Amino acid sequence: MFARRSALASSLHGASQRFAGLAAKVVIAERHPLSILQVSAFATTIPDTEQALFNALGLPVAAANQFSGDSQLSLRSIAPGVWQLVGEVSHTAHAEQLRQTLQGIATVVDISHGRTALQISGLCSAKTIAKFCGLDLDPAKFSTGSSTQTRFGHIAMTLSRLDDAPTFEILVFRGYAQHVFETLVEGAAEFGLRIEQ
Amino acid sequence: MTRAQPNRLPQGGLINRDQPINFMFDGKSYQGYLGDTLASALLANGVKLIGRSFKYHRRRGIYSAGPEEPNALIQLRTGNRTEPNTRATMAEIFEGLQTSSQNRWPSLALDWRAINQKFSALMPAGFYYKTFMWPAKFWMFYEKQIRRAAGLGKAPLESDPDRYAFEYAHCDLLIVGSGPAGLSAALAAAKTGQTVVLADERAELGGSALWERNQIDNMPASSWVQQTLATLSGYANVRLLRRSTVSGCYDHGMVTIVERVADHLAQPPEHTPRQRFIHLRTQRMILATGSIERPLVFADNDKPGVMLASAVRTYINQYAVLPGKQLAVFTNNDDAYRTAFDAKEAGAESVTVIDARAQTKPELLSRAQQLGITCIGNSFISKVHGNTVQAVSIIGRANGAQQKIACEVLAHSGGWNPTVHLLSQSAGKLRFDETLTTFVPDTVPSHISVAGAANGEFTLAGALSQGHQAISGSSPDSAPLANPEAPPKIEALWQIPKAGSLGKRFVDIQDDVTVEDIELAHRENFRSVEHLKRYTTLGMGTDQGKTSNVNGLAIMATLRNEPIPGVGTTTFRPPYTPVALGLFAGTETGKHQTPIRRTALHDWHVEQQAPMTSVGHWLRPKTYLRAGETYDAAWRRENIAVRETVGLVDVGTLGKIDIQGPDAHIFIQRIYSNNFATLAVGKLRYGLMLREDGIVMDDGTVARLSHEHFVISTTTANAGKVQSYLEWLLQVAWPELRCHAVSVTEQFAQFALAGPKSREVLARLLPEYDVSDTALPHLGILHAQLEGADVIVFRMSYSGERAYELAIGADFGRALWTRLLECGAELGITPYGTEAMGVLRIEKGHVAGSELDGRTTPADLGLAKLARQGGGYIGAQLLQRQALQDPRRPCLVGLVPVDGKTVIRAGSQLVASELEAKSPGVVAKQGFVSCSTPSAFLGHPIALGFLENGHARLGQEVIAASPLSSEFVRVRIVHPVFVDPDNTRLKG
Repeated sequence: MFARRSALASSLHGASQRFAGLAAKVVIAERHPLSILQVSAFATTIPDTEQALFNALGLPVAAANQFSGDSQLSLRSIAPGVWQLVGEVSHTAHAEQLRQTLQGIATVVDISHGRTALQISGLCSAKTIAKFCGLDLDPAKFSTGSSTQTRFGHIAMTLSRLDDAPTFEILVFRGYAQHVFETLVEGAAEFGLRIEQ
Repeated sequence: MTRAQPNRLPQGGLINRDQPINFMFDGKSYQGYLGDTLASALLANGVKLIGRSFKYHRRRGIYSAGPEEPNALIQLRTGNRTEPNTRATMAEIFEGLQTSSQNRWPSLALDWRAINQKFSALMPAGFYYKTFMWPAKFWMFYEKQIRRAAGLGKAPLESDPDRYAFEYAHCDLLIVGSGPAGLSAALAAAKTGQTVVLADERAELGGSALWERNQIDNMPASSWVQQTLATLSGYANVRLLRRSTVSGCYDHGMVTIVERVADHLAQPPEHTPRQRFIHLRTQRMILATGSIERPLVFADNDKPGVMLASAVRTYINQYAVLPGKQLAVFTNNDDAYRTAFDAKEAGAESVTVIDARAQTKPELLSRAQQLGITCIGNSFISKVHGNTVQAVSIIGRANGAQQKIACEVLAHSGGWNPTVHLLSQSAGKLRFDETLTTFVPDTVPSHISVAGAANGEFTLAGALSQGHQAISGSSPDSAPLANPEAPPKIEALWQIPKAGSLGKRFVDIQDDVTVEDIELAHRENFRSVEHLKRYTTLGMGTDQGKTSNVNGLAIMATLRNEPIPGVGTTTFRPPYTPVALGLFAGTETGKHQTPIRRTALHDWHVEQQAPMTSVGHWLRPKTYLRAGETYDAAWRRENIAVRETVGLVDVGTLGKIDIQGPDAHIFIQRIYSNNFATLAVGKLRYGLMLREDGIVMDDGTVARLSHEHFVISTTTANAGKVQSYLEWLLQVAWPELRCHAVSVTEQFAQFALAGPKSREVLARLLPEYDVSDTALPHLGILHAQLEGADVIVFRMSYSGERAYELAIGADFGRALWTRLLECGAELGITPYGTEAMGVLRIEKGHVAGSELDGRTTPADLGLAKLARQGGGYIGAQLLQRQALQDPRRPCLVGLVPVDGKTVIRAGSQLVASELEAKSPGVVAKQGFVSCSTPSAFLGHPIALGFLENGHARLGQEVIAASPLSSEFVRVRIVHPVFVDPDNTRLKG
């Protein structure tokens, strides 16, 4: 069986050796492999799609720029009528099943290989991300459960706050993964950094 | 022997005497203390001469104690960290700091260019508009000389070794300036719970509370500052930013702040940026930016030892430096008397006040008398004696009585100008206040308040109160308190007449602009404030006219016989003070200058040490060099391998878009010019996308995976553009279509397996599947499973050989690639790169970006058949325009060199003859060369181009002319498909 090879396969180990900081205020880890499905409703089928998603997944559809669920499986409302289903469990069966359930009311596209997910946690995680992202990351403004399309420097990313530790998750095109990872690592270095494999 | 730091007072000041610091200036070693600026340390050491002026190379000394410093511009540090034109008044010294003066040769004391002063009559403002005209051919000589003479410091020639970082921040309230008004506001704001940022450009917070001997809340002001800062540090909602200049105000509360994180250290700690560029979005702003003292304009007001009055007392009070034993203070206002009092109480031998006004407050006179200070009223300074200040001559205004007094320092004050730059950048308006003789804020945007001296409030009590009141909900009772005082009085005095014709009265000291220059500008009719500025360069130096703008426009107002507001002010633009270029670059330097985008196979290419090329953000391998191979030999080997055996290339950079939905087929029909209604499931077809104006935008393939499911490909370069365009169409133009377009470029790794033996390799890869030509014909699709992963095989060709493109989830890409190489090893499978890929497609006459250049129609490309009849697609209507249907339009042709060996330069123009090509004047252009390559397979160079009436001219010869490179190649017009025009190789 072919094994899934992350876009960061050649970078993570070296970086984790360089930055094994004891007093780390930023911890970076990759979430891999993930299953990511993009579900897009049509103009007139948003309520039907929301209902169908709830029936199929048991997850309510969250308000705009929020997600429901947890790290096992979360449903992110990232645009009007567009959701990303992100989970650790393989959802290949899910994809086909979901496609059939949503036949005629929404499309389902598997982008599991197309994104790299980085988890950033620690006291200075928000400060690090704030070097590259113009969103207000104050917990009052971007609370746990938030998930939104924004930018990391010039690169499009989906940014989520997974918990109050705080733990953030960044999703970017896998093609930019190494660039984003290197940039993030350099930005976190001044705060003390640890990279977990 | 002179003792070290002869001007340092034995006690006082906020410097840390326990931490001496050794530094160098012009090769000499000096000592100062932690907390000193370079200026205060040099003054403490009795250094008077600091630089030479811009145009006249006049001797100059330290003039001020702040960012407005026009004279003491120093080359700071050496080597790759050297920074020119750094204000000595702002630079903090550290152990081992090396500095040098600028703009002098061979030395500061003996500067040859000082000879310019002898020719100063020939070098007034704007002299360069009237000189260096003749003879015209000498201009480049003049230009080099002028360039050498211009400028002050030297830019570094080595790369900046430091890091710079951005930070995006947000707050409810930004307070600019940490003087009494700012700190008072911060105290009140902290209690409200709103998020507060307090920024000050200096290392120590406190502003004027650090250098004026005042009392706040019944304690020395500097103690009040310490207590206040301790209080503020206890609030989690307050962020204090030291060494942070608010450099610009932009729309919607966006403010930029330059935080000098490590400039006061020999080098930044590991991983720490030297400076941080903070983009702060704030809901409200309080400008507590204080004011800048205005000079008096009198003869030789630029000599070393002439200083701003407040600067002298700043050096005394904050830095414990008395710049001279004998001081004179020249003023038109009450405020400068503080300098006289502070100097005498600090131990100056003699202090004389020359007050230009006829009347002075009795309290000031009696205090002066108590201290033994001589006061001479109703008088001017008529002359400053010495190369550095030795004495001044004084003349009575009423009676002309003259006297001369010895002094080493001439402190002067013409009043104060509120620091309103940020307000002006925020479109706030100013008005001229006749009583204060300065510009004060008038209309202020609703999200901004101005408090303290910046608002024209020049008393301490008033500043504290205004800062406090700027926070809504603050009770006036809880404001910090100082003794109430009457505002200082001032008499407008924009220039002091010269005694006789000698002596220069400088208005802009940095740019060497004198009163006479302003008079000249007026005579020559450059009378508006904008012309005044640009003609004389007044206000155009690194200080942006902080000590010259108001005097300059006031003098022009006098010349124009108008009130000052009639002249108006120039526009303040960010940044407030100069900013290192590296700061704007942030982390986007070196290999991070643009983001790098890597395919799933990137690591493998790098392991092969393939030379890479950039295609937009992508990195792609150009070729794979075997041991001992040249680049040229490598791509030639690959070119032939694909035609004769089989090759493998990573095409993961091409755009791939998943288009799904009940109306997907309708959408496809609209966006492509050829007919896709007949595309069956399991088949793919080449298509053209046109712009609305009928010009070809992009080409690619459309694969139908199911009735409602398509995957289309785009060129690498246009992937993003096409994706955005399709989303726009679905969201804006046709929102009723039940269809979505989702980018899957990154989802799939994709390879092209090409060559006569490609099917055999495929059969070995997928032994359980039927890959015969019947089961998988040209333009067919096969869905397969391999090692638990889905693989889609598209039979299509870019090279013109039998070929298959394989798509697999990107995480599996490398595994599939490796397996393909294993399967093809015996058959001679050859990985190939973009170089060979480009040669192959030109050999096959495939159009690509060089032909789809935004000017070509389907017919131009020889693809008229792909613009279907009946319309119904984007671009159909405008494609019918006469000019786009003209049969004489240049159309796609192939070109070969007549001599069989000369490479034709891409971009060459196609013309009738060489003679014509070389003749001057307009030459009839018949077409141009769009792409060109040598060909290993064919054994001669080939090219594609566009030629008028090209399809009727096969066999004819024209010239491919490139006059810029002096290349004129005779070429023959041939069919654009050089290899396999009947497609037999392709279809097997």
